[in-house]
Order: sequence, then structure tokens, then C-alpha cells
Amino acid sequence: MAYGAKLDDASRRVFVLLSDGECDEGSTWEAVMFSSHHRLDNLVAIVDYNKIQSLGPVAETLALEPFADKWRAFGWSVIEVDGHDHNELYTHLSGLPKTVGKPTCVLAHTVKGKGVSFMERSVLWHYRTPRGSEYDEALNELISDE
Amino acid sequence: MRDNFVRQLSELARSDPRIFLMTADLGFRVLDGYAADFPKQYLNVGIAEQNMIGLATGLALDGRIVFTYSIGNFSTLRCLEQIRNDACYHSANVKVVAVGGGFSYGPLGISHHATEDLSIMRSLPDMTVVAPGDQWETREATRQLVETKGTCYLRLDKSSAPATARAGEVFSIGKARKVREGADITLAATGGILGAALEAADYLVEQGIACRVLSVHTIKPFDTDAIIRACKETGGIVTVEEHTIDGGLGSLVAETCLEAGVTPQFFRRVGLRAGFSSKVGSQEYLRREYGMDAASIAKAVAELISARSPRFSLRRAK
Repeated sequence: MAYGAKLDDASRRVFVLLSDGECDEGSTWEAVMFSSHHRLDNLVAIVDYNKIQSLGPVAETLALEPFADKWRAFGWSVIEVDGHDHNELYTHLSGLPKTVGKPTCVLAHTVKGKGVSFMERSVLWHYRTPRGSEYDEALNELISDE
Repeated sequence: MRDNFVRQLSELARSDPRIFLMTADLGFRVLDGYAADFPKQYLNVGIAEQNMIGLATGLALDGRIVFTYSIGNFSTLRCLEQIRNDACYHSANVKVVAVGGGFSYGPLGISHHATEDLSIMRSLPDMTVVAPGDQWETREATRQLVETKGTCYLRLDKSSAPATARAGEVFSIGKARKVREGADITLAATGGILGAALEAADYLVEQGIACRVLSVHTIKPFDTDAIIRACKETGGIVTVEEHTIDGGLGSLVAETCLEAGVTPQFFRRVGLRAGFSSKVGSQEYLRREYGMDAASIAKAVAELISARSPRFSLRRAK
């Protein structure tokens, strides 16, 4: 879509939301390489970098670090942000592209299950659905956070 | 089924150091025990199925028997070329295992519905394709796949038929099992949906229709004889698969019959006819929605029989 927009001289932007685990896939890096080669500065990839994948920590499964350097080496402009800070995200996403001629990667550092103490950084909650009192407890924690 | 698969594989791995299990970052809690017991016979390669097949082929060509584990489409379609060129073409001892056959992961949507895997896997030369119907078949198939040379595909289902094995029965890959006798019609089912076929057979008996039920756990090599016998000995064949009707068990039965010059009196493929299964929900819900639950199977049979054989006057299937 981003390539198509360039072909059409259209000003629209394309945003892609990626998980960190997804960056294990070779096809992700094929697209990453393609996008910089074709100078797709209308493309923004936001990576939800919560450092946990299906069976455990990313670092112990298939390490991505130095993650930002990988994106840079593939020709992307990288912004590292606190993925939970909406103001920070707003500021950065208002100033796109970060570099003319380069696609932008927003590496959003996040905490999986943020705001619910018993869900934070837990692989279990990749699979579970809160039930009954768990749901109420989670909601209470989220509301009292605000 | 996946628990029985892992249990059986663990038993085998204990005495056979060639056995190796690779996962593409799936199997939360299911593989923990195996991983702890056999650290040198286990690897999580990350979410990278294409690389997994390449790695598995390398280890297999060095003498290991490698089981690759992921969900339906990820372990098959995503890395299809690697399965074909790396593993299959070299007759490597790679056993591709897919959990979540058909609508097992129904609530996760189309990306997780495995509805084309059987036809695609069976088109690969020299491939063995197995979809067990119950827990016993799962354990037996796992055991026999270790002994089966070359690249194999094992499709595991969330659902499972109730135990169908007779005392002392011997399971053989490539040999369909007659799990119920009946002369009016044959229900040939593959995978866990065998349970729905048996349920339909129960219902049809009440309607005066006796079904032979075949568990066609092996799609390739195919048990041609069992199908031809079913054509000759029973009134017709209805195939049942939680899979597209294009190229799967139903197609295979049709090809087999035509080529053998045997024509069943009637024939129908129960399976996915809607193209993409864009609905989301439990396995039972999706079977119902897409016309392959026990009631739909019974209805299809009843309609076929009453259309062809006036001697049956049927109450309408529920």
C-alpha cells in the first residue's frame, strides 16, 4: 500500500502495527529491506516491544537486540518511545517522516499487561481471558490508575 | 490429541535419542514437560517456520527424526516450499505436526482455521499424510511415524472421537479402520470429526439406516481397497472432513472410485463449501454453521438415501 501510494504520488501514510515476536519471521525483514530500498518514507512501523512472546521472554527465545540497530542497518529511521506515554507518541507521530526518504520505525517499549498487577509480564495472560473476580480486579486496578 | 501426541513422543524420545522436537514458539504448557525432560532433543526456533523446516531437514539428514510443531497453517502453508524442496525432495525424516486441524482454533479466526492443509500436503510427492480420529489413533500414528521413512504430515485435532479401538486391534498407517459395520451406506471420515460421523450413524440407525463408518486416518498413502469395498458392499459413500471439499478426502475418494471403474450408487462430500470460513466461534459452532456437524451429516445421508431408495421413508433429520 505504501509503495502504491508512492506510485500514485499520493500523500497518504501507511501505519503497520507489529509485535516483537513477529520480527522472528524472515518475511518481516524482507518487507523491511524492501521499504528502505524504495525510500518509502510514507510508511511507519510501530513495534509493540513488550519483550515477551508465546513461550517466554524474547531475549531467551530468539534475541532481537540490538533491535533498533537492526532497523537502522536496514535503512530505517528509528524512534524509541515509551509505548504507554500517549503524549510522547503523539509528538513523534506528528512529526513524520522522521527522515525524508526513509521509512520510520517507532520502537514502542511496552509492558505486557500493563496496569494489572497480576497480568504484567506474564506469558500466561497471552492466553487467558479474565473471569469473574479476575475481571473485576483488573478493571479496578485500571480505573484506580487513572 | 496434542497431549497424547506429546506423551507418546516423550515415551519414544526416552529410548530413541534420534527423536527431536522443534517448535516455532507454540505449545505453551503443552511442551514444557518434554522440554524439561529432553533438553538436547528439543528446540524452540522462534516464530520462524521456514527456518524451522530448513533446520529440521539439516538435523534429519544427519540421522535425527525431527518433529516440527506449530498451528495448522503455520506449520504447513507458511513454509510449504521448504517442506517440498528441503524436506520432501530429500526424503528427510521430518515429521511436520500441525495442532489445530480444521476449526480447532475456531475462536481465533481464519488465520488459524486449517482447511486446506490436507489437500496441499497430499499433493506433495512421497509425503505421508495422517489425520487421526481419536486418541488411540493419535498415539499409534505418532509411534508409527517414527518408523515411517521420509517426510510426513500429522494433523492433530482439538476434538476427538470416543475410543474406537477394539481389543487387540492393530493400527497401520495407510489402512483405513472399519469402526462400525452397516450395509446401507459408508461414512468415511478423517480426523476428529470421526466423532460427528459416529454420532450421525447413531442417529441414522434410529431411522433404519445402517452405516458403515470408516476412519480414514491416512490420506496418503490412500487405502484404495477399503473405498472400493465400501462402494461394492454398501449403498454409497459420504465423506466427512473438517476441511475444504476441494482436494481433500472427498476428492480422493471420487478419484479413487472413478479410476477403479467403480461407481457408488450415491456420493456426497461433507466438508467446507463456503470458501473461506470467515465466521468465528467454537469448533462445534463452526461445524454447525458450515454444515458438517452430526445433524448435517445425518441429514445429507437421509436425503441421499430417500432420493435413491424409495423403500426408505424417512422422518426428516433433525
